[in-house]
Amino acid sequence: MKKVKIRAKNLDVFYGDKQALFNVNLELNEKEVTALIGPSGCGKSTFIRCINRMNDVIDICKIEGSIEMDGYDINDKSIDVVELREKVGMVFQKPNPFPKSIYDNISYGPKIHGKGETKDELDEIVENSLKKAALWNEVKDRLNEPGTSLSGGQQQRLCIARAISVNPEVILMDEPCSALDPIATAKIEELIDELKTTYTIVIVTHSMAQAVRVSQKTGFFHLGKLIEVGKTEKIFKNPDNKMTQDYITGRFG
Amino acid sequence: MSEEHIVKSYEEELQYLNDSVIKMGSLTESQLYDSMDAVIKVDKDSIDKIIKNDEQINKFRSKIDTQIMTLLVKRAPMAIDLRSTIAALKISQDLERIGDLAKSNAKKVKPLPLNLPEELLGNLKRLGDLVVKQLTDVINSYINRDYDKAKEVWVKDEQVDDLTYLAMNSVIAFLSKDKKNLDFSTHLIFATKNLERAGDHITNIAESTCYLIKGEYLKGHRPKGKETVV
Amino acid sequence: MNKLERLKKRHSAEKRFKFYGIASVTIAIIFVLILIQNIFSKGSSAFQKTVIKVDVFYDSELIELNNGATLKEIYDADFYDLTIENLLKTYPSKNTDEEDELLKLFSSDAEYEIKNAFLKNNQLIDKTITLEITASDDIDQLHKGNYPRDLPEDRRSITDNQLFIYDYFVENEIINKNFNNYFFTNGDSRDPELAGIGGALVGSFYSIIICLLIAFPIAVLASIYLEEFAPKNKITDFIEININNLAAVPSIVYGLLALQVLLATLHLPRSTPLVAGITLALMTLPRIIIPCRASLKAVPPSIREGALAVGASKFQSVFHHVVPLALPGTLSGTIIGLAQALGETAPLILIGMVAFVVDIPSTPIDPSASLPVQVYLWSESAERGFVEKTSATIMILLSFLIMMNFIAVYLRQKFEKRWN
Repeated sequence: MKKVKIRAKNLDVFYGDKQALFNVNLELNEKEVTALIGPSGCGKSTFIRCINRMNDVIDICKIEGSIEMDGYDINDKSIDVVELREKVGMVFQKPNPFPKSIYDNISYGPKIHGKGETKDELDEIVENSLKKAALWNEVKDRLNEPGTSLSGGQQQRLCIARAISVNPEVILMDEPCSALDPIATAKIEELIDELKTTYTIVIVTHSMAQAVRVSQKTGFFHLGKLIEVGKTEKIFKNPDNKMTQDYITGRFG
Repeated sequence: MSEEHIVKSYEEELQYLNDSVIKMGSLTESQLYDSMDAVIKVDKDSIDKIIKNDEQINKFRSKIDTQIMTLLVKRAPMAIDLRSTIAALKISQDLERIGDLAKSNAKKVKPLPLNLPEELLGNLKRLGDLVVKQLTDVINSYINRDYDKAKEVWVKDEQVDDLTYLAMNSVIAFLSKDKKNLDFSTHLIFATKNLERAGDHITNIAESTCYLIKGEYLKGHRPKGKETVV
Repeated sequence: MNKLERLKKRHSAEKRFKFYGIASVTIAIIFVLILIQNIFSKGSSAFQKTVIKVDVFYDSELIELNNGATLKEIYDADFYDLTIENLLKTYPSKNTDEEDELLKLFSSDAEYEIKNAFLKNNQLIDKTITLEITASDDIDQLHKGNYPRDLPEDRRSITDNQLFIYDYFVENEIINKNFNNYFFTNGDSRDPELAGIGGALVGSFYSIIICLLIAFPIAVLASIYLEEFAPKNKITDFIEININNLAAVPSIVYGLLALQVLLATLHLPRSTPLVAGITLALMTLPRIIIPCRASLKAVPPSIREGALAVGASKFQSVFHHVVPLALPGTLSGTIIGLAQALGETAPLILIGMVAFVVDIPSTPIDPSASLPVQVYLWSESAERGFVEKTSATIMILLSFLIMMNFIAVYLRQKFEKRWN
């Protein structure tokens, strides 16, 4: 029986007057991959950005209800958002490595969190992160080259390594493969499969087939509401809700 | 929200597959009926026609197989579309087997003598009528996606077992009267058995239809009638 | 047929447009070439000075020095009589009038040059060396071919006798042209042949440095604050509009501001690079803020998000990631702003850099001139000798400006390559 890592309770999100999420109740289990699917504009990206409070940078964004991680409300005034983001990492749709060297890309996070003080410690963190992201062998001889000199798929794995470098507990992925070719996509899906034994992963995806391949739990959003959530196999073989079925079979969306 | 797929050709492909299964079903229906009729009336003229029609059924089977392969690779169907595609595969398999059994029965008419007594063929006729009706019902339940009707067919297989038992006994009784009857009696025994097996395939079709509709397998063993000796 | 006609029309329109473009560029280039040619032809002669060979005999009777005299003793000694004696030796004059005229052929600096030679080598007592003494400005211009010798004698400053002596010098190869080091080492002077931009160079240099030290940090920090941290409301919009307007304010207004605030109210020293630097800084602030803000805006939000997602604070994401990426654009904007400041004349005139400053300033609070102001001052003088110096100064100014612009372009390209 998996432990619940993140729990959204009666979550409402507003952008000014416009409501983006309506009363979302969703539990994300630890060391498991949860996929969020739904048509464009349904609120899935808004939802995951609440988990690491990236919506804080948007002034008009207001949150009601709560999101708890390990039982603590992450929006509470006593929570330091920098510490939260150390625990909850994020990988974006378009790979966005820093325009620095590969080494500096990975070592930046640990440095600012005080995790690696000596060069040896940092070297170790960099090597471990790149190994976990299945990128070490490809870049170990060129750690001083800029991160932007890598191919698209490698850049995305670099971003995953960067997220891993601060030793998070949760990794959020917002359509991580949408800008990549099929081979790069396959490598990342394999990586997600390995990472799930260590981290809790939430992935937003537009590809139904990808959701089936990588996730154990799936949530379907539509117009800001969580329509159905359940085991991935059930959702895709025999969903309870007609709207869910219509979406995944391509009858609307 | 519409009932139809956004991609029209996907919708058409699924519909076409459905229609193919239904057409194959109708063909199998008439084959089964004709072969039963031929056996009961000992109509030797219709044998060739029945054997030839079986080719059609086999052709349908290949056509449906090809359609399914294409659907799977092109569309990666989900949920109900996935279930209906797999159901079509299984049902066409079962229909082909039923067609083969009908053909086999038709072949058995040749060596039969012309005037066979009522007590011999009576139960066989009743069995044949039941099986033909089962097939009609299950195909209808597939066409109309009628869960209850499919389940009924599944349950009624018990009757098929019972009637098989009775028909079998009639033949064995007739056989034991006069050893000269051995030759065509064996044919009748096999014909009876074929009908029972047709009934099993019909039960499979019922199960496939139920899974297609509800996404769950029928629970428990289906009710079984008397076991036959053979 | 219609289609063909339209195609023809379009082609001829394209050809016309191409022609206009090439014609405009050509006209622009021609103007630039004319300008350059004009300046160069007038200014290149300023880099040379006319000198007259004189055999100088350091007669111990005329100066009260010995070999091995100390620097102080040499400085205090009077070389006047020695100078006159040696200069008169260059040509046999018939009477004192002619002697006076002969002496006028030499620069008033002659005494200093003779003394200077002794300062360099104090073993010259009763020895003779050949020195090249600077000629006066009239002779200098005459030798450079800028003097109207065909005018009647009463309408020119050089007498017939002096012309005669000049021709004699030319024939005997006593008169020559050397590199004009005075142009770079001397400050301003009443004598054109001795005037140089040394003072103005140092003055401009100090002014620009002070301008940079004040304007750059304030402008960059203000831009970062306005762009990254300030809340977006009516007040910040108002500030942005005003910054854009300030960039367009005529520079002389800043001169008036400096006059009132810096000089009248704060009593800072007039004509100094300090005040010039502060004035130029005020003027350059908006010119740095605008490209700096544009560079900051140009940094894609994905970089900021990437930094925030890894747990950087807003401050860290701005200063570790956004600012380094905005730096090339900011630097090139700064350099261009400084180049503009270098060429500013009107505000500096108002704060008094138009004074006649002979000494080269040693600190930013010594009075000085600046290069463009020096151009202005010399262009107002009557002496012919200043004409070439004006153009030469413009040449120097232009080369600085071109060099600074090249550095700006080079920096921008180099950083953009790294960023991509």
